[in-house]
Amino acid sequence: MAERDEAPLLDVRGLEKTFPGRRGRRGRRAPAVRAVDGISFDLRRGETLGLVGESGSGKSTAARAILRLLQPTGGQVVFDGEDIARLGRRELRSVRPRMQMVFQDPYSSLNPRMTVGEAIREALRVNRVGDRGSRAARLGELLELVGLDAHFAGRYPHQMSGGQRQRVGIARALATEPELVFADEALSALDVSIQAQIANLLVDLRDELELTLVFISHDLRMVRHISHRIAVMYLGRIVELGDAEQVWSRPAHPYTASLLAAVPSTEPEAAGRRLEPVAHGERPDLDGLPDGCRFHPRCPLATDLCRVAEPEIRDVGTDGAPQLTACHHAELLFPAASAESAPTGASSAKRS
Amino acid sequence: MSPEPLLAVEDLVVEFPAPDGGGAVRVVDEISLTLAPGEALGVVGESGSGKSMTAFALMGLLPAQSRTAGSIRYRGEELLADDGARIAAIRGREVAMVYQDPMTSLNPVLSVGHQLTQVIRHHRGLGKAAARERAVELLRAVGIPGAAARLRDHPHQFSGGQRQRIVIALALSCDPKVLVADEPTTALDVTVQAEILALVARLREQSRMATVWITHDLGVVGGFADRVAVMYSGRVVEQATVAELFRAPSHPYTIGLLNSLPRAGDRTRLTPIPGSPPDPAQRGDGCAFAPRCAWAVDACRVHRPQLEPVGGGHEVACHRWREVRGGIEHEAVTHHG
Repeated sequence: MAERDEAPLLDVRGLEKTFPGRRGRRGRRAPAVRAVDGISFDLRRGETLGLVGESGSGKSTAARAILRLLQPTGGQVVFDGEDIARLGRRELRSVRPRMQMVFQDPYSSLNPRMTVGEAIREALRVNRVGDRGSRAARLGELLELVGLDAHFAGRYPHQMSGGQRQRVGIARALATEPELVFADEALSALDVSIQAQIANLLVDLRDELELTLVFISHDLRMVRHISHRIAVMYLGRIVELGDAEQVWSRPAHPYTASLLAAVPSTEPEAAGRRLEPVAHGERPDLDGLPDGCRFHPRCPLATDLCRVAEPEIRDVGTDGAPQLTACHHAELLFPAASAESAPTGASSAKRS
Repeated sequence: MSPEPLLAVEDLVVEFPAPDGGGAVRVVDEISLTLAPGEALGVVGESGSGKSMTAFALMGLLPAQSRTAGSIRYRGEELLADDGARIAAIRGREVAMVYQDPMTSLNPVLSVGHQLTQVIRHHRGLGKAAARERAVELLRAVGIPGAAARLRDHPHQFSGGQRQRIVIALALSCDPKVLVADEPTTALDVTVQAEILALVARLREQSRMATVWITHDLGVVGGFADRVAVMYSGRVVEQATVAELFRAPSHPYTIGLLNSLPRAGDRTRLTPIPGSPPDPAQRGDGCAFAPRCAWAVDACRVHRPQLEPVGGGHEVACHRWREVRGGIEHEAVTHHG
């Protein structure tokens, strides 16, 4: 992928999505839930961004707000030069086919009473792609693209394996020839041996069709494998964003370090090494955010500063590769000297 | 390392009547496992491997229409042939189980304290106050903050990770000798998973509780189990210590599973196992993995391989394990050289 200095395909600026608090007893409203609390990032064409974080971190909500499946409550979503955050239903019609989503469980995103052919033709029809004749031809192309025989067009979801269903989910997302694809936990429901098949398919399609991909997953091993850059979300904020290998080998946020320390390994030297959580305790609720840094109650590095001042995003990258962090003390995570065999962030942050 | 096993499964078979009425579908096919006191056994397999059915058999919780053969002995006592009364006594007190979905084990309309004290009183015959005290102690042990104040709360008032911890507290309430855990951390975040694994490891050290940890993730057993049994299509295809299994995986399926996982520093294409696992109703006579196996020869399609020792307590069910191992070593050499 040539590094060209061109306008990003997607430029998200200060995106917010707030849900109104639930109405409690005596008509009192709970405080609003800031599920996505001002996140910014951009994506070049052909780039893959991995989006990680625990459940409740806001990664799926962010994806849905960017794709306008949810209405953002603040910020901008600039897609190919146009801010689509406030476009109306009609104006969105020309944008929608250009950005698509692959969901976690194809079983629940496919209509059980529609054959694969019907489901894909519907996606084409709704998005006004081609006429009846050309849609039939396109269906054949799409099935071939995702590695399914033509006879799958007549199958129902329950007649297929999980991996085959996810191939259909991908074919349907690709039906409109999108430029931007979000894959939201698209591998999580699959068996390990099948995950690798679908991961390869996604990477091949990305390269072949020059897709821009946002890969959302809690599986950090897979995120690192697939992504060029990684964004780590915690309680609605991006706390770290940088080159995938850089983030993995030199995390600049204690939350990232704690995620990496919890990644199970199958390397021979991992046998007998216990996974020890670095960050202890439960994450706070979104409607009761702590003052200061929102990670401080679980953070082994927290100081008084962290309890009062929310850290600004800053760049701690090296060698011209930006690595953004929202931590006052990111430098404490880095090995002091320019150690040759840089210890993984996981182990450097292990002592808590 | 084989003192008198606490739990010994021998040639366990679990069958269900075929949906079309003809014959039986074998979901667990002559598996044998042993568990020593204090030992942690990881059982790894994908969906349809029979790992959950094995757990259900251990707990005497198989559906009524199932048919079993073989033997499951707990401290020498046969559990499989029993009418249920004896199993019921052993279950809960001696052998406890934790499921993937904590809500399988928790009643949504009863407070957590009520559920805990009920179990404690039933199994240990404690009075109300003593049972309550024990419940608080257990919740504290599994890391629920403000345990005493939270007895009154209902399951939905806890997070997913906390609910799973409560279920573990419930399972531990009677000091079981064996804990059977079926994918208890699969639905949880990695950080919470690490906390729960660390918690159970701690409890294991304190009480010498033996553990059977069922998972689809080879990585999870790495830091936790002493031994691993890899299951495929109803059978154990490989069994070894964790260190030995990671160092010298010898069944093509185990190797395939390991290769399916992204490796550190390697961004090339993954090497998935082609195809998908067989329908247990359609399994032929040969090795169930043969249709997906790059090593398969004619013999594999005709004769089902049995587990055989390959040295160092390592067992493999593959006709071609010698070639498979040789091939791996050859590959490793050429890679380095």
